[in-house]
Amino acid sequence: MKRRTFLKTSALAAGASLLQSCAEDEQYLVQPLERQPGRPGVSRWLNSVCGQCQAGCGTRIRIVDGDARKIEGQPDHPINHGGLCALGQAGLQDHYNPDRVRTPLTRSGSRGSAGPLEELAWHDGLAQAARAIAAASPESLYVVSGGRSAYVDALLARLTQALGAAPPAIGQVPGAETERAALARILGPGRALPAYDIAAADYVLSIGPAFLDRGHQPVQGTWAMAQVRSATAGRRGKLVQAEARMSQTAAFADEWLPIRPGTEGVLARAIAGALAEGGLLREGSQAALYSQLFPAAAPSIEEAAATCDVPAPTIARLAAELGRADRPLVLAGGSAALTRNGEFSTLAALAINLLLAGFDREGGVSVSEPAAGYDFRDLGEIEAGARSGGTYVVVEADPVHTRPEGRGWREALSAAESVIVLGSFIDETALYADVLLPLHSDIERFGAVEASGIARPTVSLARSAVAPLYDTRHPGEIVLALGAALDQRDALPWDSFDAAAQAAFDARYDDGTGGAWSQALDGGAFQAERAEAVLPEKLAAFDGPEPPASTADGELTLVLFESAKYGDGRGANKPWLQELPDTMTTFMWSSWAEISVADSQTQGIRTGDLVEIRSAQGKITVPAAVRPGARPGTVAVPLGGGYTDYGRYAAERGENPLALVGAETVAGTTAAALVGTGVSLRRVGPGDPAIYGRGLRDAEQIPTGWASMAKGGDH
Amino acid sequence: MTNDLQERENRLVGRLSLDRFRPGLVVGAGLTGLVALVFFYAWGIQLRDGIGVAGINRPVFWGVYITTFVFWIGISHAGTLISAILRVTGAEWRRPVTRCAEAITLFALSVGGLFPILHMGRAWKVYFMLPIPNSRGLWPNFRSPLMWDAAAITAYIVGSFLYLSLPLIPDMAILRDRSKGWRRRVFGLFALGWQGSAQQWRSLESGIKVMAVVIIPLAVSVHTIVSWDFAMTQVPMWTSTIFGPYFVVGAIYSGIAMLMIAMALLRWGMDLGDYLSDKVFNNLGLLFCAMTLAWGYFTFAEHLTVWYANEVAEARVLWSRFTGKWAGPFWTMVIVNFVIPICVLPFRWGRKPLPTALVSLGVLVGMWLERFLIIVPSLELPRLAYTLGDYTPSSIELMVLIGSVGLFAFFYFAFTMNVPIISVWEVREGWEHENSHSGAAAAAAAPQTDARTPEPAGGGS
Amino acid sequence: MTRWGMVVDTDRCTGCEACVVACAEENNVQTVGEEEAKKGRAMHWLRIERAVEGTFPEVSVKFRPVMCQQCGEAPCEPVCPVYATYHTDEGLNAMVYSRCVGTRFCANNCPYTVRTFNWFDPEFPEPLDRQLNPDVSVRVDGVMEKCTFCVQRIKEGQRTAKGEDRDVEDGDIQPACASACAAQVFTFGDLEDPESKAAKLSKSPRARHLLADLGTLPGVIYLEDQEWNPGTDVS
Repeated sequence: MKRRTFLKTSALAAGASLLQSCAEDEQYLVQPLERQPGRPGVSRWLNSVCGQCQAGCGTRIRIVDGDARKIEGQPDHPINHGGLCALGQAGLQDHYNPDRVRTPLTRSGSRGSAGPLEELAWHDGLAQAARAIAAASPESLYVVSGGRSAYVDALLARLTQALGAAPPAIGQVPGAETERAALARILGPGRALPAYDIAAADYVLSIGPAFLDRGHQPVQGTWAMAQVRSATAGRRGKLVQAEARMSQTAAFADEWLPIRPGTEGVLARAIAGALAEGGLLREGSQAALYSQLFPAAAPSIEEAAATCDVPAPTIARLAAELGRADRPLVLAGGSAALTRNGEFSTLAALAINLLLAGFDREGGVSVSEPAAGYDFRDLGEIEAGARSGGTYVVVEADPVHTRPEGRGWREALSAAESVIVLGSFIDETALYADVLLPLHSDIERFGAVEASGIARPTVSLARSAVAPLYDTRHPGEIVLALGAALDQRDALPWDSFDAAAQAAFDARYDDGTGGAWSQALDGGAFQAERAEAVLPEKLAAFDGPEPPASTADGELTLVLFESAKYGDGRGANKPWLQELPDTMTTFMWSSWAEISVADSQTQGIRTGDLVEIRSAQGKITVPAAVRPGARPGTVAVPLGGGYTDYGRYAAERGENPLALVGAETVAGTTAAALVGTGVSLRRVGPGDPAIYGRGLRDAEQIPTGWASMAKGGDH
Repeated sequence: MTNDLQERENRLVGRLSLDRFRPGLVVGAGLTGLVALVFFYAWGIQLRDGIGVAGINRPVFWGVYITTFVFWIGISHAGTLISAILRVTGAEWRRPVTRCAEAITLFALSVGGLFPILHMGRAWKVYFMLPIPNSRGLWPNFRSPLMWDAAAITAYIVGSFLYLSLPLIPDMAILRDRSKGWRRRVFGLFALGWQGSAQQWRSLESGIKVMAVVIIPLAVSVHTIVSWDFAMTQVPMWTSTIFGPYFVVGAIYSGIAMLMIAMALLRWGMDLGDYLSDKVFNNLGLLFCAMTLAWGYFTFAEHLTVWYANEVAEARVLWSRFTGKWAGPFWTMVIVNFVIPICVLPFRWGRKPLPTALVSLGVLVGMWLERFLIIVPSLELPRLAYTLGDYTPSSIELMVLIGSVGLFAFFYFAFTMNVPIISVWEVREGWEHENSHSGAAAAAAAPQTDARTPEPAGGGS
Repeated sequence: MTRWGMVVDTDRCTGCEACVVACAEENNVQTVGEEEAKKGRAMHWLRIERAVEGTFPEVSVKFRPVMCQQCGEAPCEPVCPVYATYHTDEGLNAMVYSRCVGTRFCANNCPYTVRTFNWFDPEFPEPLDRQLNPDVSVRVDGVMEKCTFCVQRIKEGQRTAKGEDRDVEDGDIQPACASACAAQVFTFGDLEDPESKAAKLSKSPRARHLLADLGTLPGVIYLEDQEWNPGTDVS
């Protein structure tokens, strides 16, 4: 109690001292408290915005006696339509996580270790951060954001611009960088992502994206597939998944093509060829544009079958089914964008939509533009540049953990002049922080997220739902405070984050009445009309390389993926998610390596055995999950394991497969190639992972339980 | 004639030597008492930390505890049932056996009866199972086989206690009359004022007869009901119509095995070979042999029908016993429970004390395994195969198992130290019958080895 | 009369397990930790079963959420010696945690293996305990638990309706799994009300009971997967 009193007092003192320069402090100390009326024991539901990934789902929080008890999706929210994923559901364990950072911290020891960290008043923390930024030369100021809110990122962009530094680097969903590049080859320069109207499609061919597992819009994708299956388009639609790994999306799909990784583009080209040759081009198809993009003749079905390891009749049938469907749609990118030739694969798949007249129609492809027109760059651009020294400002991102070992983040942060981290946990990047400024949780903060990967521009908005538990702040407010401390009030003239967000929102969406903002704030979301994807008259031929994604003989191909429960690793510190049995393997509290039955037999590996995976970059030792659905010659490992620190639930649990990945990029981009690293596999010995239904180790195939589903009597 | 009988009685009482310090019994009681402490230590840990210290899990919700419960309840069929059957059928050779058999019943029941409480997640709430009138009108659920269990076991404990106590009265009187000081008062208390009048003898004998007739259906019902804990469910290979008789046969089988071991130990440890004679072993061995056959027949029938019917969920359990994970314990059970007994017991040399005791040890192990194999593989393989289980007993469970053996043995040692483990008056009654049939010739053949001076005879008989 | 029931459309289930987390969140289901999870003591009231058939590359997978089936003839009910699990007049298999003595007989006799047991006291390191739902009791060690169809939400819905002087309308009450599911796999409602969505769906030719041959008369009805039929409309 004394400690808490002390914290409160110091918070008050810090607030009072900053009151003049940061008028918004008043808000934290007073506003949330005002929002806690409610009688004892009576529950209220308040809107919020999920920040567990970049999707921007609208949530509502059940509050009883001042505490948040439950998160649900907002019914009728344009993104998630009432649903929410496991990661989002676990958002409360972000808020109430016992390992949250509760006050600003500063380092007195060396970087890279957990301690010693000293508590700091906000006034001092902000001053220290501002001094470090002011001392940095503009060229060596690196701002990295996790991309949770476009409105925060826009403020970061304004700050860097005012300081003359390079724009912030935004961490993105794996594959996004390549998907943007591929879309730009069709629609011209821009930073837009392709957006798909899956819900209205009746035939979906997904070449790469495991869009139900994670990706840009997992919840919306799930909702959309329910629409496809419930015959919104007149009849039950079909999903065909071409993906090297059997993801949950592939398992859900009506048909799964276990394609050889790296050859997705060849499959796409062959299908395009079959569409054209088979006279299956529909009215309005842009065959001319397609052939300008890919002037060379498409590979024959037989060639593609040999390259991709997909039967030729299947390819022909897929082309025919696509051609005959009413609203066919081809999804591109995802896992296909993560191989060395990811840009070709993504573009080839995306371009099929040209032949299907799929751009800008119902159940087709459109664009999703980043909000508020701010400038940003990809993380790879920082990594590719020469770095020595430098000052890093990291906002809600953990590049040390989420970027491949070969990208050199540990070395770069160790050698940096200063590292300023805005985050809620001592994650691997925060271990390098000189100053750690703690943030409000999703439900404590004013939520403003502009969704990406959705056809109609959508902004999710919500006021803070609960009072802050600790002495934390909104990241946007911190940026504004830093701006003020750095004398950049011209670039960041706002007193509060919501004012800044409103200004950015109004500039883009307001019709002059100013009503859209307040309406959206009360309703939870704003949705604009679909952005038009105007196809150009002529397309330049694809000149990117098409390197074969082959691995050396005797090597297995490493496939890294975001699992539904860990995401990029953010879910790893939540006990609900750690204990959630992975749907495909039922592993809990651990990383795992998915190995095919054929490979397991040659090595004598059984599910649960520890295997060592070794690449040129490094090695990891994880328990094996032998799966009938794993493609022989591949080893798939989920991201999000092996944190050296990220709280008690995540630390030292599983292994981080990014330790295996070097500096390889997707050809033509700076994106990390997370699929295609050559690895060797060796059984180390028996292991003892936590597996739900332990007997499932040896019995992956359990038809009896399903056979026992019989038609029942009356009920 | 009467003097001769008196001398023989004196000799027997001398062998039972209740008035002397017997290091063997004291050391035995001490050691087994220490082992019994392990039982309470392990249970204490479990009460402190939670039932999770046991190895049971989901879906194997029952494991060593219930196995051991069924095991001890089975053992309890040794005495009362056997002695009652022999009494009712008037088998003369039963006379030296009844008391030590009935004691097994009472103590096995006492130990076994702890297990349903011990295996509960909240043992301190056990009174919820009692029909205590309360303001909420909450009542135990008499549809539950566990309540039948509770009722049957309680009745059986009471019945067994009475059945053990009634024939004890004249013996207590004999001891009372042979003791002095405080011992005389204690024995006098338990003798319930026995004077050996004709009226008292008539009452006692009719009481024993009634109890003998009552206890047989009671014993049969107890183990039938224990089997219904399993047979009433929908669990693969638990739901079986022959479980009732199968369990009763198994119970008698294991009970005889325990009795054989107890008798052999008494015979060697207390020099009771004259009473627990080869003839007794031989006769009991024949019964033992018959139970081997009966148990083998039931086991065969049970597995054959499941194998033939080949229902999916049951067949999985069956094959996990035959060739799968549990093949080792299963075939061990078959060997020690059937193959070895059937190779030994049919022969006269096999029904001597040492062979039968060794066979009995195997049967005890086998019968414990039988219950374990009924419980665990079925639970490990539920119908919906997604929750396949995996069970390994924890150290706490094994401590409880071993401790329960210690506890039982401790009770038995303590009983033997303080109470005539052979029913003196019944044996004497046998001699009287013998004499009346064959005269003094039989008396001359009676043991003559004990030379100690008899205590003055009192009012016994 | 009311008979609460749930229709589960397996055709839509993507196996995302949002329902599993939502269930734990709503019902204060404890997290047992890695060591206990290894022993098979994870507490989920709801699990996503997957069935894998075939060998590579012809592998197909189906997902199926399995929770307490709320049987009409529930094998778990008669075996409880203390009436800790009993049948309500609204067709629920109710659990009275404070009455449970932990014989675990109900769990053995559940053919669906959906009951979970508190082997130890739950731990909610501060401040995780502030998330606990005040409408649902936190179970202590030695107590059985299972899916309740979010009975606290049913009661809440009934109270609200009564307060507004009306009947409970179809769709008013949503268990946590149903409200979490983006794919709308779960349809909860009164099976006795012929107008309810759940009752209508339960008449579908796709409707199945799990282990129907055991005669447990579950209140959970599964709609089995549909095939893609390029030529015909589906109803």
